[in-house]
Amino acid sequence: MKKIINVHLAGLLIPMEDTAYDLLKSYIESLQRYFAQEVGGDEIVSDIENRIGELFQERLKKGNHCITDADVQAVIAAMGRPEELGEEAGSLPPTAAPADTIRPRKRLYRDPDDKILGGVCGGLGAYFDVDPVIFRLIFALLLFGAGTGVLLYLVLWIAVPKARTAAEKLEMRGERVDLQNITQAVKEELSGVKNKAQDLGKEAADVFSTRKKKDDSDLGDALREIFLAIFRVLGWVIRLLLIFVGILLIFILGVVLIALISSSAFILPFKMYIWPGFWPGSLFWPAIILVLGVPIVALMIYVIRNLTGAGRAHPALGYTLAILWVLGLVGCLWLACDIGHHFQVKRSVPQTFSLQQPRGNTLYVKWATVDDRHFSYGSIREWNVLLHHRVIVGRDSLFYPNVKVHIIPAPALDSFRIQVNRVASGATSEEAFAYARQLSISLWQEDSVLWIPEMVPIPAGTPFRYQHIEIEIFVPNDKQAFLMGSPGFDEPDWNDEAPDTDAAITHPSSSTPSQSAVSSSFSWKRWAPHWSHQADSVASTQWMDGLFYLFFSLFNIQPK
Amino acid sequence: MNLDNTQSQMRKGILEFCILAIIRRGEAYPSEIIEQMKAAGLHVLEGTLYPLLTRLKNAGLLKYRWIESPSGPPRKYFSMTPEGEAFYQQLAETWRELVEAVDTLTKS
Repeated sequence: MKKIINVHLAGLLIPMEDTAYDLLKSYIESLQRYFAQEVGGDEIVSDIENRIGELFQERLKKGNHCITDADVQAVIAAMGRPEELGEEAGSLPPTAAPADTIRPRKRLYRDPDDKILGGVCGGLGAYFDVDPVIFRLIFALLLFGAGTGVLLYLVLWIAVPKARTAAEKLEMRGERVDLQNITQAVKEELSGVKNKAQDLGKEAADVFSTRKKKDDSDLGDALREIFLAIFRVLGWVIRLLLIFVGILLIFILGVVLIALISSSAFILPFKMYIWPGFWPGSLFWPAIILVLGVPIVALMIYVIRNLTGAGRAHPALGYTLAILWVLGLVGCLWLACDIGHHFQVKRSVPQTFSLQQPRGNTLYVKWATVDDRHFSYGSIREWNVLLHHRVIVGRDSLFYPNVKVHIIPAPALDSFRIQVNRVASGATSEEAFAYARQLSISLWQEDSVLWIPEMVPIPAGTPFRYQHIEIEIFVPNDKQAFLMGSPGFDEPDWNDEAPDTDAAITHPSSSTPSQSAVSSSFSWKRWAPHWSHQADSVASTQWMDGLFYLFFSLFNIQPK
Repeated sequence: MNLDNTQSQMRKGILEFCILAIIRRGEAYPSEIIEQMKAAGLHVLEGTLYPLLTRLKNAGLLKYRWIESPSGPPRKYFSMTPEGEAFYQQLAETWRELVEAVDTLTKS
């Protein structure tokens, strides 16, 4: 079923099927475009239109009711399509000044005629109407900015299509795309809506005032067109929003990636404690870069293609990116499973320490710092000191605050009692026991003062399995124990605390003891979060504990 | 080497000459010119003719007037100007030379 419409062509009234009309219209438009640059182009097209009218009239005289698709196709075949005309008549004569012809909407293309690598800079130059050398210089400078220029250039190379045909080259240098043009386009859409609304108002008035039976399909048409126009405007808004969100996502992902890469100073030496073997560790960076980098590249391509109005990218590109991303994801999952596997079991091994009962009723527990004379791990300067001095990767050992002290009231006892447990995780029970046994902490006592080293080093070659020491001090009813300060490294450059507290850090004996016998952490060392030494913290039997600990120390977050 | 391309290149060169030759015989409108060319065995797309006619007219070699057609819209009837005639004579001279040269070369 086809609609027949009357068309006014070259002074003739010609009934045509609507599809035939569409065919003819697009053909004549293609001719108009083709001859647009020629002097007298309009005349040529109207001559051709006349001729087409004549041919159609002949056909109608033969008894046809209307012009069909086949008729239009026959006429087009006889007249020739623009591209065929080009072959027959040779290239067009040099055109008149191109400035006074209407230039097409501008699009970003790669310029194959002005290129050094992929023509990206040439295309950018044509797009922004500046010398491409400027863009070449910018990319060359970005080359030194950690190679971002290379990535950006490659992304543009993939995302931006090459100007192959003459029409595309014209678009490449075409009309300037600026805010004014976009506003213009939106305005045109809106004025279309306004006109339609006026028409609709008039029709509605007709309907209601005269109460005549009206062909309400007109009304429906007008309504439909209004909605279409509204949807088009909405489409614009949504597209702009999508582009905005895309840019935002690129930004966020980029920041995360840069943060990870810049923290590689920490992760690189620390990695060998998590994955001591060759394989899992060497997968870490490729996996992270794929998982974070692929979406960045994909979003950049999407945004660039959308902004420049280029069509869909080659499907192979999408598949390649998707496969790369899945590979990265699989790598990451595998690494996570690997960590999970090695933290499956948690075992603790007791260590004996005989506590001499202090003469008084009070036991002072003090932290012995790692640079104390009792330790001989070399100068702190030789260590890779990280994360606000909470983790140190030494030449032969890993240090992190891994000694926990719990002071527990025990009314049933009549003297102080101490329990030292060495705890570690592992893939199997044996492994966990072995790692726990490797740990050794030496406490010492000066009458009422119990010195506890604030950390126990993990020797290089031993993987990090959250080895730590749990010390429980049971306090009888009539006696009390004080935990002085919290562990951590001294940090001369960081300190902007008051001098007296500064002294308290380096000489804990001079500090005032905590008033609480149970909850005994201090907050005066602001860079040493006190959550890790809550006296009443319950030892978790989950391997996740270690990971959380690591994570929180990484970002210095204090969990509840 | 593309045969079609070469053939159309050959035809292209003589197209203006042929059009001028037809119009020289008397006023003609485009469809008529096409018919005559077809009758002579020279097949070209109709669409090629219109740009050529317009270019020749703009160059002052042809002029036209509208004549009412018995059926349908009025038609553009083309005729030669004196400049067109001179142009044609030069082309005819070149053509004779070309035919001679090609004949000499092809007759072995």
